[in-house]
Amino acid sequence: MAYEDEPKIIHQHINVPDIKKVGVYEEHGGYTALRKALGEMRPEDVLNEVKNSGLRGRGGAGFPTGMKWSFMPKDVRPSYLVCNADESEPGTFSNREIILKNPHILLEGFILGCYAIGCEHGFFYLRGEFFKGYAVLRQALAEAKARGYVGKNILGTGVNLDITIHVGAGAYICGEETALLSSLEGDRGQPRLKPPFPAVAGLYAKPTSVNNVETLANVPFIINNGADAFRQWGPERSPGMKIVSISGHVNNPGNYELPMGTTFRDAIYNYAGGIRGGKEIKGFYPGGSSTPVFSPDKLDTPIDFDSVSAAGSLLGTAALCVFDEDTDIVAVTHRLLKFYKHESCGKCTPCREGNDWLVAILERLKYNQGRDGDADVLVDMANNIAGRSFCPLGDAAATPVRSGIANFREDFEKRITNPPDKQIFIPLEKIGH
Amino acid sequence: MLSDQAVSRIEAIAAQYPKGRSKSAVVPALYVAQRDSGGWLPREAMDEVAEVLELPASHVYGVASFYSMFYRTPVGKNVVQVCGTSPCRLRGAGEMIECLEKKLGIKTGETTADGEFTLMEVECLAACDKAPMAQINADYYENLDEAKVDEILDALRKGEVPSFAEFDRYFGNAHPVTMTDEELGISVEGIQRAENVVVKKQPEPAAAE
Repeated sequence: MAYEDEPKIIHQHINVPDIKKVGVYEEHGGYTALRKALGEMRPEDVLNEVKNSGLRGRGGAGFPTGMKWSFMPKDVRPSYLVCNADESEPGTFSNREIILKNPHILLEGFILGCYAIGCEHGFFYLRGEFFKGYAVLRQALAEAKARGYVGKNILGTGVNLDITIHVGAGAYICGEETALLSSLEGDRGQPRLKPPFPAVAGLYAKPTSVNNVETLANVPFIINNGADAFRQWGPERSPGMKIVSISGHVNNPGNYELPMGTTFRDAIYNYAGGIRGGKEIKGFYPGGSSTPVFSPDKLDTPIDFDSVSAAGSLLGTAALCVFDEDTDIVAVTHRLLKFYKHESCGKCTPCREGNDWLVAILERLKYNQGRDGDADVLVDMANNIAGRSFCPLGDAAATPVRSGIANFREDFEKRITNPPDKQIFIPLEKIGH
Repeated sequence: MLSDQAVSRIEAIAAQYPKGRSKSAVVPALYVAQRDSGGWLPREAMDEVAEVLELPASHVYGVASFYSMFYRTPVGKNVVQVCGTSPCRLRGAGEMIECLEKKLGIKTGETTADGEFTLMEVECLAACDKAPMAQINADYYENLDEAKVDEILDALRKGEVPSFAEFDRYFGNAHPVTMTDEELGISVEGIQRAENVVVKKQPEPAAAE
């Protein structure tokens, strides 16, 4: 079956012309889940359906969504739902497509989430760079308000919901939920210590649930079709589908919504058309740049939370960044570390200073000025960043270094013993900084 | 001095947050100030944001300096931001940066002498499948090659909207959050309130435990 004809959840109608308009979205079954929920279900029924579906957060951590919602105290008001649309993990580009092409599926899922947890004022935290996405979402919200799906007395049921679309201004760290909340409150986007968890003291110190775009966009399907329908795909503990974002040296990069449990090999060679130029694959980041890199012997790992963890990495956002046999892993790692150095919020010394040092050593390796033992120094430094910083950014920054050297150690050592002018080598970047 | 229009937009944005939480509006307010000040944020503009939102000026400086989309030094009329993170580099972002440097006659981080273009290398813009790509002002331009770059730069030099821009209007580098519905073209014309209003069933009383 061609990919286009395979069943999907979020992407089912994504290429229908004008699906971003409320009328067209309704013609394709849009807002029926909202009508059903408000007409036939109590908030706890919605919450339980999502809980029973086994939906796990698609933003990277994979925490069960229904359980997250159930942690919200029922007697403390106001409570808030915040949609994390700050998509900035290198390799990840699925949320932007949902927002641009089918904003109503996201809005409907968001409204359902608000109903489930009793939130009367919800927030979207949209990354600042999504100018067009912001405009599309604002138009969709205006349409939903005009239809009576958002606002006072939704569909005559007495349910109220106000929605504010908040924008960021360029900071990867704001994808971390507590940094996001700091930013949304108007502070520098620096993470907070947990506990208290946002479910207890989140936005404005009130109970808050932060959910990813793709997570929420799955909810209308679950309410329309039931938890069991969602569970027809994927293994017991990672049910449903996952949008796999495939980038790098493949023939057909893009977003593919595939059943959980599809193998990386299938995703890369069947859906994304294999490696460009008929070359061999050298490795891939399975879930964004913050997840340990895999060598090709992990290609048959199923794409689901537990299988990827068992194989030694993380599903993350299922952002598959693939690189071919000619790739210079030292240059890839160097540029990723420049990213983490730039995005470190500066709060914790190991992350702020450590990333600077990692970049400096990777830079000298890249320019063939490495010293004996540099690989060991890099690993030692990375080990002293991971687990010693406040939030996961420190761990994330250490990951490409630790896993890169674990998997491709000889590439790092060759930079010292046999510099690249003597190797077959395609420079990843021609300009230095 | 912030224009009256800018001040009223900041106030309208602040009203979208719960009562007493107008501090939340500082980021969008800074976008408004940046637009109002010719595309960058002089200190006076930050001071005025502080005044409108009743925040300490130091707080506003702290926020402005934290985020990469606020420019505290002047930028060109058009801001060209090439994504240079590894996934894009695997698909030619390095060559694209080199190409733009050559066409514009400047290095990354610089502004052309005529003040038309500033070139920047930025971090992942969530368009890795369509690399090399760049955000130029309000628009993403994807799957770039030299011919497309020529077309884009020519159009922008003439003050026109490049044919494959995401927006059909020229917004410069102003964030759409700074715009009213009318400016942004938000319209709900012809959209009626949904008719078949559902009546909420009274939930069954929970069974005694």
